[in-house]
This record gives sequence, C-alpha cells and structure tokens, in this order.
Amino acid sequence: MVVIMHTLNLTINNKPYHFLISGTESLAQVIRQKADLTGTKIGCEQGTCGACTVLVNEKAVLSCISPAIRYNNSSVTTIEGIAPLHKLQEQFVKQGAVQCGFCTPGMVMTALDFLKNNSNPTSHEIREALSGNVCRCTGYQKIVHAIEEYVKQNKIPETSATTFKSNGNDNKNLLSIVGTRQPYLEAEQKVTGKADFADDIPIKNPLYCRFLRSPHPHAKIISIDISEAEKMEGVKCIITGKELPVTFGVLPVSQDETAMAVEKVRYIGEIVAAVAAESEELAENACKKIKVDYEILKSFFTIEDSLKEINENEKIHSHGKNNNNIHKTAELRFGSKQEGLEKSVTHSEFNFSYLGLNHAFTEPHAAVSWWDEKGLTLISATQVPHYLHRALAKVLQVPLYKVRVIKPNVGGGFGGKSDPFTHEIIIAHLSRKTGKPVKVRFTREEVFINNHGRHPTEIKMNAGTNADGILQYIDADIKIDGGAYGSFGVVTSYYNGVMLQAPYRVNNFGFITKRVYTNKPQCGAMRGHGAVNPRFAMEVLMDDLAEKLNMDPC
Amino acid sequence: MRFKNFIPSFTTTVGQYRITSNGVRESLEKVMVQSKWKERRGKLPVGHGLGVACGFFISGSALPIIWNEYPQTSVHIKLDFDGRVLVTSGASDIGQGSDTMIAMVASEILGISMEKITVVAADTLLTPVDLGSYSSRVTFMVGNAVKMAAENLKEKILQAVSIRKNIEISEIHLYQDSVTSNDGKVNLNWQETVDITTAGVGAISVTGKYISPKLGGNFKGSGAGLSPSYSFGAVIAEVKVDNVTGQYEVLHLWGAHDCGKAINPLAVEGQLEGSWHMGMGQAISEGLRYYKGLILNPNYLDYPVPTSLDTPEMSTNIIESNDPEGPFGAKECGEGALLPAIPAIANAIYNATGVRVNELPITADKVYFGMRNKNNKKQ
Amino acid sequence: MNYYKPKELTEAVSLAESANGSGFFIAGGTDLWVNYLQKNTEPTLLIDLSEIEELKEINISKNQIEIGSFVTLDELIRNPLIAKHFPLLATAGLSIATPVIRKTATIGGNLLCENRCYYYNQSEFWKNAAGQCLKNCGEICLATGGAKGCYSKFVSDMAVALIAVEGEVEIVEKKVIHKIPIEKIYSGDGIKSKNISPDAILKKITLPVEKYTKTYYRKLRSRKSVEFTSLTVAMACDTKNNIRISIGGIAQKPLLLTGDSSTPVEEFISSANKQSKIIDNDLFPRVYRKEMMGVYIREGMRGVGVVG
Repeated sequence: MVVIMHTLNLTINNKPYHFLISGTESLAQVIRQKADLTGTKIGCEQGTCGACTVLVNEKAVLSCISPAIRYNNSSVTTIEGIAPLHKLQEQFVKQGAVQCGFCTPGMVMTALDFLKNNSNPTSHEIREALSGNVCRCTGYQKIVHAIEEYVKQNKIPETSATTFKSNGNDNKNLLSIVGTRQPYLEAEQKVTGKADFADDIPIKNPLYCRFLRSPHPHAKIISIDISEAEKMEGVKCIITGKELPVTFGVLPVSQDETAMAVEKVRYIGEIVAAVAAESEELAENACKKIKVDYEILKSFFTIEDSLKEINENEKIHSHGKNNNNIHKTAELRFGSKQEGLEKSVTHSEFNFSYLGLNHAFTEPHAAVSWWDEKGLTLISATQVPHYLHRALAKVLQVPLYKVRVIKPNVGGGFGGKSDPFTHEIIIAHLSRKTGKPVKVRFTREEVFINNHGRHPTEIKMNAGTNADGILQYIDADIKIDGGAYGSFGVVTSYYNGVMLQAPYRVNNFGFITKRVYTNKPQCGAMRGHGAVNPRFAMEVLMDDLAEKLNMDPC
Repeated sequence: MRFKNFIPSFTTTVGQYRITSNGVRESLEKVMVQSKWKERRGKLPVGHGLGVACGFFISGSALPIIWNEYPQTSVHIKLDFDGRVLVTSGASDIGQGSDTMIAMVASEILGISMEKITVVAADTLLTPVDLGSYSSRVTFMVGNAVKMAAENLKEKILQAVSIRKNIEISEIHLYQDSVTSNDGKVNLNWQETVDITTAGVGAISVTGKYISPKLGGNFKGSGAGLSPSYSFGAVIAEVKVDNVTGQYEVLHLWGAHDCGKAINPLAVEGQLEGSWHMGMGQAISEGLRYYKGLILNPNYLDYPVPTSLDTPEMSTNIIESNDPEGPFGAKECGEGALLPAIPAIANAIYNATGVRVNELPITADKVYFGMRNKNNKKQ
Repeated sequence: MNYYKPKELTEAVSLAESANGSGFFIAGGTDLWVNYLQKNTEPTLLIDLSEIEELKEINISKNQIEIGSFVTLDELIRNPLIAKHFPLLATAGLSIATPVIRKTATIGGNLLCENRCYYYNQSEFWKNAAGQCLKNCGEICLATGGAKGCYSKFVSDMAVALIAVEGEVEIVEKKVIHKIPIEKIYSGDGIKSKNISPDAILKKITLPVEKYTKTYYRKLRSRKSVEFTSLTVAMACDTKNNIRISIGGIAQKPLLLTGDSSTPVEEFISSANKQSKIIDNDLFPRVYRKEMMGVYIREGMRGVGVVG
C-alpha cells in the first residue's frame, strides 16, 4: 500500500510548523505527536467528549475527528497557547472546577470560544455551551460557577488580590489551613495543559502496543499463528497467553485471570495476543494478520442461565465447586426474620433490576513501561500502584524489588482503575522482551470492554415496620452478574448486603447474594462499591412503607 | 419515618459495625429545610415531585485486601537544609485531591505555609506503601498518617530549639512559619529553625502510619464492610414529569453529606457534586446494553452520561460531625454521597406520578408505560 | 489517500467524476471522520468543499430564501434572517449534536448524513465479532435478526424541519443542476439511503418565504445535547391551512404526511404508523417511539393551531 504524504503548514500558538503527514492523521494526532503539545486530550475519537477541543482560525474545532490535512496554512490555538494564565483559567483553579483535569483543557477552550460571542451569558447558556464536553468529576457545577465568576470579574473593575471565600468555619479549633478552601496543588498545571497524564509522558523511541482481542464470548483456543504478522516491517515483538500463564486478580481469593487468554477466551474482547511495533497503526495491522483457530463453547449471558445446573465442561471457570457458573454466594443473617414479620404491621416488597454501569472516566487507560538494570518501571493510569506492583511481580515472576510503579496524573478512576490490568502486565513483558519502552493507550471502546464497572443486578427486597413506622426486618435476595472474571466480586457480593445495616436500626436482617460468572466483560468496583443498588432498593421500600403508614418519609 | 429509624451515634449495628460519628439526622434536617420539604411536598404543581433518600458508606476498609501486618498506610516526611518539607506517600491522587489534602494536613500540624511543602506521591520506589484509592480510605487513613508524621517532625523541631535555646518545650510554639516562646525571647524564622533542627544531624526524617483498630464480630463474613468510621448523607430531589410522555427533568438536588470534617471544603463540595451527578446518571440514563455478549453502547454517544444541560443546579451542604478517629475529625466524602441521589430521584418521580419504576435507569418509556398501566387499572 | 480543496464548484464536480465513485466530499466532516475511524467508509480521495465560497451564502429574495449547503449549523442558528423567517430551523439546528460540532457541521452535511443503527455505527472489531450486518455487506440484519431488509434509521433533523416547510435542494449532478424537493433525496433503502450519485454536490437549499407561518418541532432523545434522534416530528401549516408533517428517526427515510386543517389527526397518526418502520435499534424501545409519534403529532396539530 502506497501511503501518499502531504505537507502541512500550521501555525500553532503563533509558532510556524511544517509537517509531513498522511491523509488519515487527525489534527489531534499532529498536535500531540508531532508538535508535542499534549495539553490537547483524546477521549473518545467520536466527537462526543470535547476533550480535544482547540481553536482553528479562532473557531472551536474537535481536533480528534478532524483530518489534519484540511487545515493547511491555518492558525491553531491549543491550551498551551493560552498563556500565561488566562483569568478564566484562574477562576477554574479558584472555584475548584478542576478535579482530575483531563477534560479541563477542552473545557477551557470551549468556554473561551463561547465567551467571545457572548460576554454576558446566563447560567443556562453556559450549560448549553458546555453540553458537548464531558466532565465525569465535577457534576459541572463548579465549572459553570467558574465561568460565571469570570464573567462577573470581567464586568467590575479589577481589584487587587482576590481572596478565597470564607469556609463558614468559625475557626473554633484555631485551624489555619484545615477547613479552608484550597484549590488543588496541581490545578494550575492541569488548567494550562502542562500536567502529564500517562499518555502525555515524553518517552524516547518507544514501541506501541495493540491487542488482538477475541471475537467470541466463550471459546477454546485451538491454535494461534503469528508467523505472517511477525514478518511485517516495523513489528518488533508478538506475545500470546502461554508466555504469561501465572494467574492474578486484585483479591487473593480470585486469582482467576491471566494476562492474555491461555486456553480459552471468556468474553468478547479478551486479549489473545499483543503486538509491539514502531507505530500504533503497524501494531494494529499486525494484529489483523494473526490467525487464531477457536472451538466455540456454549456462552452464558444472563444471571438466570448462569445459576442453572450444567455439565463440568460448560463451566466458565473450572475452579468452581458447584455444577453451575456461580462464582460466590455470600449470606449473613442476624436476628430472626420470623420475629420481624410477627412484629410488623406493614410490609413492603419489590423486585428491582439494574443495568450494569461503566465508570466513564474521561481519560482512557494508558501506560508506558521500560526495563533497565534496576528492573521494571511502569507508569500507568492506576488507582492502586501497590496492588499493581504486586501483580506485576507475581505474573512476570520477578522479585518485588525489581518493580517500580509510578502513578502520573490520572484522569478519573471511580473504581475503574482499581484493579491490576492485563494491558499493564502485557506491556511490562513486551518491554522486557524488546529492551525498549512500550506504550499503550486504550480506545474508548476498549475502556468499555475492560469495564470492571457496576454489576448488572437483580434484587428482591422486603422490609416491614410496626404501627409506629419502626423497622422490624429487612430481607434481601440479591443476584449480581460478574462477567467473566472475579475482580472485586467477592467483596461486591458482601457489600450488596452488609451495607443495609445502617443508617436505620434493624435487628432482624438477612441477605443472600449470588455472584455469577457470565461471558461478558467483567464487573468490579465502582463508586459506592456494591452498596449503591441495594441502597436504592432500601430507600424505595422506606418511601413505600411511609406511604402505607401515611407518614412523612422523612 | 426515617428520623424514627436512624441509628444513633456511637453504637453498634446488628452486624457488629462500630458506628462513631453520625450526621445523618443533621443531613436530612438540612435538606428538608433547604428544599422547603414540609411546605412544598404534596402542594406542588401537577407533574412536579419531591423525593428523599439517605445514605451510608464506609470510610476506608479496615482490612487490607491482601492480609499482612504492614500498616494500612505509611508516610515519610523529610526536612532538609533548604527548609523544604518533603512528604512522601503512596496515596494515589486520581483527581479527588489527596495530594492537596496531604499538604494541608502537614501544613496545619507544622504551622508552616503550604508553599514549603512538597508532596511526592504514588511512586512505589520513592514512596512508602499506601494501598490505593479505593473504599474511600485515603483522607481517613493517609490523613491520619500524615498527621502523625508531621507531629513527629514538629516534636523534633521543638526539641532541637528547646535544647539550643535552653527553654522548656511547653514554652515554645511552631506557628506561622516561626518558633516563638511565650516570653517573647525566642523568635526564630523558619530558616533559623531549620538550621537549628538540622545542626549536627543533617536531614531529619520522620514517619507516620495508620493501622485500623480491631473491629467486628467473630463470624464468617464479619470482616466485610468493617470500617473505622462511616459516612452518612441525605438527598432531596425535585423532578418535573411530562404526564403525557413520561419524559422528565431533574430540576434540583439538595444534598447533605456528613464527612466528619471538611479538611478542604472546596474539594469536598467537588466530590459531593460529582457523586450526585454520577448517581443521577445511573438514575436517569446510564446503563450497559448487550448484544450476545457484546456491549451495544461502548462509547460516549450511546452510553449517556448526563451533560451539563441535563444536570441541575445542586445545593451542596457539608455536615461536620467531627469523627473522633478521623484526621481533624474527617471521614469520607468521595463515594457515599452518590447513594441517596438515585432513590431520591426515583421517589420524586413516584411523588409526581404515582408510578414506581424499580428498574434502573428510569428512562421516559418506563415512566410512560407505568402511568398508562396505572390509568388502565383505575378505569 | 488523495486530498483536494477546490475553490470552484465545477472543479469539485470534475474531481468527483474523475474518481469514479471512490471520492468523498468533505463538508463539516464530523460524521465522515467518525465513519472513517470505524471503517464504515474508507475514502481514497477527499474533496474538501470548505473553500467554495458560493456554498456559504444565505440570501433572501422576494419569494424565497436560499441557504448554501456549506452554511454551518451554528451560522444557521445565529442568522437573523433565519431567526425572523424560519425559527423552526433555528430550533431544529439547536437540537443537533453539540455546540462545538455545530460550528463545523454544515446544513448540507446534515441533510446527507448516513443512516444510523446500533449495529452499524460500531468499530471494525465490534462488527467482526457481531457478524456483519446487511448495511455492512453481511447477510442478516442484526437488529431484527431477519434478512429482508436494512432498517437503518434516518437521522437528519434538519431534513425533517426543512421538509415540513417545503424545502428544496439544488443539486449539481453530472454537470447538470436540478432542483428537487428534499424528501426526494432519500431512497428508503437502509443500505443505499440516497437517490443521488456519490459525485453529486448539494449546492443550496431553497425555501418559500412567509408561506408557513405556524410550525412545530420536537425531538425525542435521552439527553438535551449530543444525541442523534430517536424520533423527530416537524410540522408546518401554511396560510391556507395546508399541513405538512415530516417525521424522522422512525424509518430508513423521512416520512412526509400532507393534509389540511380538516384532516382528522387520527388519519395522520394511522398513516404515520403504517409508513414507519420502527425497530429496536435505539435507546428508547420501539413501542415507546411509536407511541410518542402519535403523541407528538397530536401535540403538533395543537401547536400549529389545529385542535385535534
């Protein structure tokens, strides 16, 4: 295939650049990879998150879905061009509009563009203007407030130093810092695009990793042929599951996952092979040349199916003791339900069902690793460097003292970056084999495939009160769909029940949770881990009980 | 009815959880007053509804994931000739502001300004172990460890000054970047203080740690959900439902969360608002859909995270119950606040329509068919 | 990939013709590039229309208004002429995509955007795993499980609004300019959804001025921004009480229902039900979208002053 190259002359932040590009490179790629301006983020490559917003000829443009070639002789302003610190950025910092900071550059660019045409917007107009920029941390409130505050400051003549709002604490403990409103230490770095996230860290001569993922939900791997892919120019290393057979998992009781599928695949998207090559595109193309023969196995997609009795060879994991795909049963009972029933005059019972959720943090997973005489260094978007450190040592079979994990700025996690992940182990291994740094970043789709989000759940819950509205019992029958692997699932199983023992006093309380394996991306911990879905059920029951008793639910 | 059932402060739950500080009552009172619950509920225009819910969550898991005798977290502080205080901690800031919290706690204890404090975090070569950002543990556990380390450093500083200046430790204070004595005879600026402290010994290193107290019952499964402290909260939601289509809008959220003590109120508010927003997402629109094991909506277009336009203004209230074991009384605020947001919205929809939708997310079609079924039954 | 940025319309047409169907015009490009990244289109030649000035104008004459196809949705929303004569278009424009996308996306691009489906607008990996659907040269429709036809959804909200107010387009096709009603562009075939050849250029949109004084527009979607439509109903009533109802998001092409103020609303609804081909390829279930179609038509009739 002949790649036609084009010259691209751009002025970025008032500096002229001359690039040679292929017609398929996006403006975001050119800005990030060729001009090394990594303040512009790539969050979705679909035009739906706004993290890549830049100004082209003074107009806001989504740079990750814009072919760079269109903008020859254009003038581009990125977040780095808003120097030194715009008063709007100052307000982002002061008002706490910056949390993880990944959406912030795009948010600032969008807001600046919007304010050019509307210098005195209403709150609704601000919300409308930002409605294509996803923020998963702030709930938008502080972002809207920052813009409002900037508008207000622009209207009144400049005063000297601005002071932080009082925290409402009457200083009774003589605290001078604790209790005061402090912008994040790194907020200014984030709001100016200088803060490095995992994919922003400059690395000399890295290789890029892409994955071959299973197209089948449940299948035996008969053979993998990498010979054709290996011959491709620019391909440096290809690995498959057999090289990394040691299992891992965030919980000691659920060491049920391998870095890549070894004998069989358990969900669509499970990694079967990984390629390190000189570019992402080359690695991606090489993956397509790997041939895998599968023998299709029966798949399980629902809780109902996974609870059923099955043959040994139909089990998703062979380690289970039962003849079904139940991963964990957690049950605790306190007091006596019978007594609770007898003392109750009002009862409420509902069935609840919940779709699974993804954390949808704005920064897709990314990592880079290298080896030197001291061992492995891995920089990754993780919430748990310590557990990752342990998992790396275990699977790569190196002593703990040969591993170093560094967490850079992380673009949100919400539990979605709290397991050690296969891609982290894979690039560590690839960099060991090649002797070169290896980088990886997920597409937004891969973030969803990786998931580890809130479990799809079914709950049957009942509760009763006496005539005064005092709770006499709570009983919950809970089923959660864990997907293909364990992750935090054993803890999730318990949390679905135990978190019901407060804030209301209840003496007769019991639950049973069954977590099943299915052939879907795995579920794990997500903000409010395990407690969110039963809490919904409980609070709806309280509402119902109060109504039946003709009481104020408060 | 909720007020009648609230578990009190300083008690034990049926499953042997040790409840210490508990601001659930104050949380609910706050949002009731702010939303004018008593005056407005039941008297709203057609289609409007108010709903309430409360929440409860752990403030750090008392047990480590991998059982061992290492503390839950360990923090080092180094003071060297230049007067810079270096705090190293394994804590993972993922946007929740833990690095800032660490600097604030160190600054508070040491009585020196934040600009003298540098936090290096989450590098397993350079920083002592912290288990990670999960189970809402960081402020409680790392905060306590930083506090302990800073107290240790402060003691070393005051000891050194006490010896050099021949004055009782109880007579001197480290405050506002200087060491002064009650009698006014000692008045050292920070660099002078540092010089005295490091004289003859060089850089000073101190440590702090946090180990959870032994908690819980003696039955299998008793360890699940044990926490040195628990957070509480309440949310009231107002919705407006189009009675013809079932489409609805969340008009306002009033939220209150007992985080013990807001070390950094700006960050706490951000955590609360973000939690309520994320809860609202699960309530109104988010959910993974599958086609034969494939996620049907693996992108931001088809997985609908509420946009700024879908998100209402929120009234954010911090309730401070001053936990006896939390650093300065603090406990979690990053997760627990999410919980009541979802049922509050569902209960508000019920209040507006008389329809219970017990399947999340509560999309307009479910409300619409719920209303239709209800009307059919009536007739 | 080759890339050209002609300055004249005739040049663009010649370039496209010489490419024998392998060329792609790029206007806003906000959909084209996402489709490219998902390997739904693999252009070997891009013809960028952004420097053809005659496509960027909005002109008003005595009887009609002309909107160049390269006018962006943002420009359209902000244009005082549009605000004065066609508030319907401003409302429709505001309901499309996001504010930043609207700065790039054009009205012509919106009219010609490709039909969508949960099972088609996915990555290459996804489609390989799911099995290719009819629209992607496969043998069955994944959304329905059948092989009869592709039910990809027509999603241009701007088309729905324009059809209601009797919009026409001027198309340059094989060097000939012809003018056709907008609804005629769409074939009703989910796979090849347009009646015009790939090397045709949509030059401008024309609308009669001051004919449709009463209008209605409503779009069903799960969020107030970003979303493509789950159902869009636009309606217009002229000074002689003729009514045009245009509906998008419920079939492979927009529906057009015509009548007048004496037409019973039930007739419109039953006709819409008959012609729509709603399937479950949307966040909202089929039955709900169908119900809402009736609800919106009823509401629209009241909106344009006809009590239904």
